[in-house]
Amino acid sequence: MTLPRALQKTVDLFDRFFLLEKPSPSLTIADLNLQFDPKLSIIKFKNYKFTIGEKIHYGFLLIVFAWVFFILPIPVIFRFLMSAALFTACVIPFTSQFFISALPIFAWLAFYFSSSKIPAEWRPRISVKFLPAMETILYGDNLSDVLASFTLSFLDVLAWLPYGFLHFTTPFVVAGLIFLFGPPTSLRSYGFAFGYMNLVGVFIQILFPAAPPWYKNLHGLEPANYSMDGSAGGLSRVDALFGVDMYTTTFKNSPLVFGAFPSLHSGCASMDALFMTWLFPRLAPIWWGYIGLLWWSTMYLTHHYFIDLMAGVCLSFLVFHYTRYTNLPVVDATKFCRWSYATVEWINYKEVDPLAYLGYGREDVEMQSMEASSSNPTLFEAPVFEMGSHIISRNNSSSVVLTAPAAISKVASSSVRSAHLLPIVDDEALVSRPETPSVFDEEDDSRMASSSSNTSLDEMFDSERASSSRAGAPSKR
Amino acid sequence: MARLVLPKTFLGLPLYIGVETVLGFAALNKASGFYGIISIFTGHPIGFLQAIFNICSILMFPIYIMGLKAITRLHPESRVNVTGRLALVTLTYLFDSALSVLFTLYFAHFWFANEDTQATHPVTDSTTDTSQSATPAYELFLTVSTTVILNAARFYFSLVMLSYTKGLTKVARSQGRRKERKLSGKFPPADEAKWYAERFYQMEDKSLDVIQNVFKYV
Repeated sequence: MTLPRALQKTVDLFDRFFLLEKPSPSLTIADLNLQFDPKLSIIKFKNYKFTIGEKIHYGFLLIVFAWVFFILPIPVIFRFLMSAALFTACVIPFTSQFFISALPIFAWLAFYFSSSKIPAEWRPRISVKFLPAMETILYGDNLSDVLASFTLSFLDVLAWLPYGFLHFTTPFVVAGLIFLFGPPTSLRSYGFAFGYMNLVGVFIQILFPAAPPWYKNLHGLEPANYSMDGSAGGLSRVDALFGVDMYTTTFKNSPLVFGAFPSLHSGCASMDALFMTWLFPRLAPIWWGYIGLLWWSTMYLTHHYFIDLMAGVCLSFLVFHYTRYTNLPVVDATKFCRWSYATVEWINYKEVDPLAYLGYGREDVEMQSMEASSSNPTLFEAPVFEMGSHIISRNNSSSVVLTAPAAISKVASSSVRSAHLLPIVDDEALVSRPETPSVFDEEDDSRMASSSSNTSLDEMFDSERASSSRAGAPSKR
Repeated sequence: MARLVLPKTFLGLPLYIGVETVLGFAALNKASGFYGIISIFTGHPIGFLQAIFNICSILMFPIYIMGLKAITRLHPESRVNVTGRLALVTLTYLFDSALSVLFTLYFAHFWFANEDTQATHPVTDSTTDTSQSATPAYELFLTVSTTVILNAARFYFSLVMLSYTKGLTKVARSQGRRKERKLSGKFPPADEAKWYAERFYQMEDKSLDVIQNVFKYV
């Protein structure tokens, strides 16, 4: 089979830039499943052991889909057709690798578009004053009013771009970037985080209906009801400018008119920014600069109060960090793309805890340090004097006989440097300080004994480090 | 006493996750200052205390960002050397929390005195359906209880920050280096490019001293 020339060229380029990155041609970790036989999925499903977390996850999504199936305002035949399409996509191995991970997103979309059909009697009462009140109490002013009190056509378009256009396109771009440049399986985590963040957001919007800023501008603080139409707020100016009805009608028929809190515009965008920061940390100012622009545009277009934006971004923050510590792989900065990874690693949140690593908080260590403090001066009581002697020894480093030359060179100066934002150039001083190369090092004891002839500070630090490392060793293993 | 009051975990999770969350929320909230100060350009009236509040937010924003950057390094060894920075950030957070209680009181007064005029104007339009709208009493209850809960959360967050920083200072190994720099008063030439570096290190050292002295007595 010969491909058209342009297509062949694309495939070649893809091979050259991405697939050739594979550390070994036999590695399949980054490969896609190209099978189409549904039987394979059924066999896999039969043999699959679901964990409790997965049972809750899929059970919950099933409930949401069932709810939507009964309430969705379309003819029954279409409901069956849509369900069948989704089911097929989940059964064919090639499509299921994307669709099963994206189920939370589909659940959110389905739930959002069917939410207008929830009877008004079932819904909680609409809050009109709570948001502007909290906004003023927490942030000193009504920030939406601040930003919307001066309008310009140029600013309208500038605000429309992230709010009305980029909002709907960035998730796809981000998903593509995560797939190409993230470690394998990270796109699943994105689907999980993005879907659940929005699902939770819509739940809050329904359980806590609140009026957006445009409501206050149109109706003041008068009571609201569910028969009221939505409004495009400042976006109607964009419609007028372009002469096209893009938003006025859409927002009038919005499924969730009183869904100001939390802002899912802010939530979605910051989920994108969080994932992009995770993938490309050096470009963090760009991602968060975009969030700043989007926040401004939502307030300028009178669609959200600042407190809604904060609720959205905090929700994203929590969901993202839950995902990061449970199922998001670790990015290796030295790897170029998905196909460069030979293995996938995850964070063990207990192992990276700095305090546990240092043995702080464990009772045996506390006891030891208390005993030590009774005989030695503690770190806090007379540090200056101890430091003083230390400095003298260091400044005359040529005259100091360091008894553990082997340990001297092993200094984690690079990690020390990276821990600071500001450049630290006194690494020289660091290098002259004998440091325990590893908490499990065999030399530990001998070096401790020998360094006792050095300065008292080193001794003190080392004994503390050694005691904590000994206590910390079993848990690390 | 500190042993009794300070939480050992953040809602059952390791403290560092709590610090990440607290600093993340704090930094994000400080963005309000930038939007608030735009009042100067949009012509929206702004009071003196509102301006002060916004300026405070803008000043604290970079400190929280630095704290976040320091804490989100993955490798445990690298975090040990950020004790001074964490001490500064913790003190900032404590100061910020105390200040925000005062501002909250003032702004609550401001809202109920000036903006919340609805209570005095009963609905004139008799056709308006009010059965689906929250009653003023309910909204008042919601506003007051949320304010109280948020301040209580801030108090707990402050304790989490203190507890973590206390842990770090106890096991700090970077402190010798910091003290030395303080005593010798010399800075390597590369730091001179950043005019704020020296001042910043001094602030970190000072914060570390304060935190350590506090924990000496409690």
